[in-house]
Amino acid sequence: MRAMTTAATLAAAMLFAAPAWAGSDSETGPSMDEALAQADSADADAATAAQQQATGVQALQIDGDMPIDSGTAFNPAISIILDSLYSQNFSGEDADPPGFGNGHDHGHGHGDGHSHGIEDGFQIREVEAIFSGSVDPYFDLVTQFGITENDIEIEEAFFTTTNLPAGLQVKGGKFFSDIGYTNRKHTHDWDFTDQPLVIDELFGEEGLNELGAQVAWVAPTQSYTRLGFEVLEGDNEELSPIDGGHYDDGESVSLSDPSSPRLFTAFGKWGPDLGYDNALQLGLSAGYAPDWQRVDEHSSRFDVWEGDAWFIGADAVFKHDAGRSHGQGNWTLQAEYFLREIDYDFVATDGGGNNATTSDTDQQDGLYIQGLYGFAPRWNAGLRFDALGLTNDAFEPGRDDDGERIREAIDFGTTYRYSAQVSYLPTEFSRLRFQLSQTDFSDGSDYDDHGYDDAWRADLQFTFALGVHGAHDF
Amino acid sequence: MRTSWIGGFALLLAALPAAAEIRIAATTPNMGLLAETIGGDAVDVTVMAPHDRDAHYLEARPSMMAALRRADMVVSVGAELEVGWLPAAIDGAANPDVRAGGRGYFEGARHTDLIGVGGAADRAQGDVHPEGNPHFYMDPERFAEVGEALADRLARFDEDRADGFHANAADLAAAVDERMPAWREAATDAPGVVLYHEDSDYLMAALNVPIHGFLEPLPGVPPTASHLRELVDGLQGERGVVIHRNYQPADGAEFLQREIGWPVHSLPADIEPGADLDAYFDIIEQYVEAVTDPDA
Repeated sequence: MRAMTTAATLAAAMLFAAPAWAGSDSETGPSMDEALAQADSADADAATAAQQQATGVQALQIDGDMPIDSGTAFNPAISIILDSLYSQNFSGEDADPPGFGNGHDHGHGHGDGHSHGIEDGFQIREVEAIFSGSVDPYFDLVTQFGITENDIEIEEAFFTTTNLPAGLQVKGGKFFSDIGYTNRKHTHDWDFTDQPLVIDELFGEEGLNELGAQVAWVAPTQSYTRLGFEVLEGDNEELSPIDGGHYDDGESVSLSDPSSPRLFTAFGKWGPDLGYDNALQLGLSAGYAPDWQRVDEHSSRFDVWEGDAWFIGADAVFKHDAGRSHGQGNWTLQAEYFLREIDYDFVATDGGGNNATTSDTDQQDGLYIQGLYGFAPRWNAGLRFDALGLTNDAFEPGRDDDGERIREAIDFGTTYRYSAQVSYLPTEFSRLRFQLSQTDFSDGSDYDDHGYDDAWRADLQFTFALGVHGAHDF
Repeated sequence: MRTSWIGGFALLLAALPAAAEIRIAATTPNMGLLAETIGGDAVDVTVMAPHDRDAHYLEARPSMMAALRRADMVVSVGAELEVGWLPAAIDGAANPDVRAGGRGYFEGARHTDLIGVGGAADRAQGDVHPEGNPHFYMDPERFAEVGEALADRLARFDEDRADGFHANAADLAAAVDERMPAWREAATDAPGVVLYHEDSDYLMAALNVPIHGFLEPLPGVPPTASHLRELVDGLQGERGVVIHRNYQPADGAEFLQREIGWPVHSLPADIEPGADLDAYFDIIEQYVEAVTDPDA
């Protein structure tokens, strides 16, 4: 815990150091930079003044320094992205795989209705409104709002530092964690209509999206190397659920009310230079949530879990650029694996003063492998294989065949999903996609036969982007 | 305590580039050539985009970020040509030196007059560039003009060698001036061209060769049957050549060849990474030969 406090302090110190650094820059090295800026403004101003007159576009000024020639005259860059779907779950039920989807609180609100954010029929999954730009010479800001029929959600709102030295960068606010590869991608940027099962079930429908701060470092090496850690609020329902407080319903239960930050992650990415045709990136990530709590209130008892959680993950992406027009011949291979463990004490009160306590460990994992191929200009096709719960030991309150309470984590078996998609992109700003997926559910535990039939789903997706849409990172 | 540590580090960083070569990450091979030509021994150039594909449609790769992380300066074509990947690569590099607005960020297109500036920013008109047509590097005179601006910029990294940079820029301009009259002369009677994309406009303008149309109905939109039919109907009985870049699909050009008998030339636009100025002039030469094709 002490180490974590230190980490948080360090992160905070770095945030405050940013403006200080900027200040010290102008104190220690004014001669060169300022002289250069002045020298430049003479010739650059003359050159750009003519251009401005011709275009009517005012070049952006940074603090009286030279005009930004950043390739776009818009600040902030604004884009609106519409993600709409027609979807049909035409066979079987698109339910949570056994052992997952908050399976702990079985019949507790979650469970069956869960459908990975996709419903049957026509739907606007989301309208994304993205505003981004430079705040000043020291910070960039990105805000992204997810607008659905019922509400507006801040999906991301974060600053990044732009002038820390030595390859350091600090990010703060609400953002998608840099763990893994897919996690930080926005919905419209996914290669399939839905995200991999392992992300969906281990981190939730939104992935790992948190309030907090990130410090990352890019090494000055021939190969791309980026290391970072994140100190996060810990609002993730899967990794750090908090139910702290006092519960009294005939039985009295008190849970500590831990303060944030409650989630810590670290990640590393490495990409060697494979020339112009190929690119590879390998990544490792890990996270720790010191407080993991859950309380289920039943009619005659409380079920209480308290413990901690951690995860580790590995990801690999290989992209081949065939050099033909509009993506023809390009292919991408991509895979990710995550393992999550929760160590907890479980207390079941039965209203009669009998507390049955057990300590155990849930261990669950999942992976996906996918490939994408540009089979014609502006067309691509993709296949994805999901395996969830290769290890699937989870605790779920219940009774065995003899009516005895189950007191240990049990194996829920592996669920598989097979997805295929075809996309057509008339331009970079519009995309039509058809996807078919089949989920082959595990049979469930020895005690609890979920017995789901295979679920089949067809999606037709239309995605449109309006406005200045920023470049996508690797 | 912390401030002094950071301040000391800043001094160290400020001291480094003056002592060493100027490390340049160039976007395209032609811009890399320009940096090499002007910078000479004082620069160490890495080229991020290959010569045989469209710099419009690249994706940011980790190796680009690694190059930008180590660079003192990025030298790009600009005018949104690299907008699909350069901003992302710069973000991923976490190197303040090469960010837009700094002295280490150089866009060639900012330092010459562009064609087509201020067009409607309406994507119904295709993948348009309100900033202007970015492909200035196809005009040797503009290429040399941008070389002068680059010499100015390099001088700010290494004042001691400023004269050398300007001499190199003057040599480039002289080499261009030496060749242009002959090229213009050769192209005097060129009947005109149909291009695939608006990417050789600058050279055609420099050679006074008329452009009769583009295979793309709108910039960035692949040729459609109806558009090709229109082109053919409009050009029936005329003389000319069809030029497309070697990475652009050939079918549209071949359709014109079949229908109206114009010869087709598939030409490079960028030098191979590491090739010298002669390779650049050779490419221009190939265009001059193409527009003066006797079969046209």
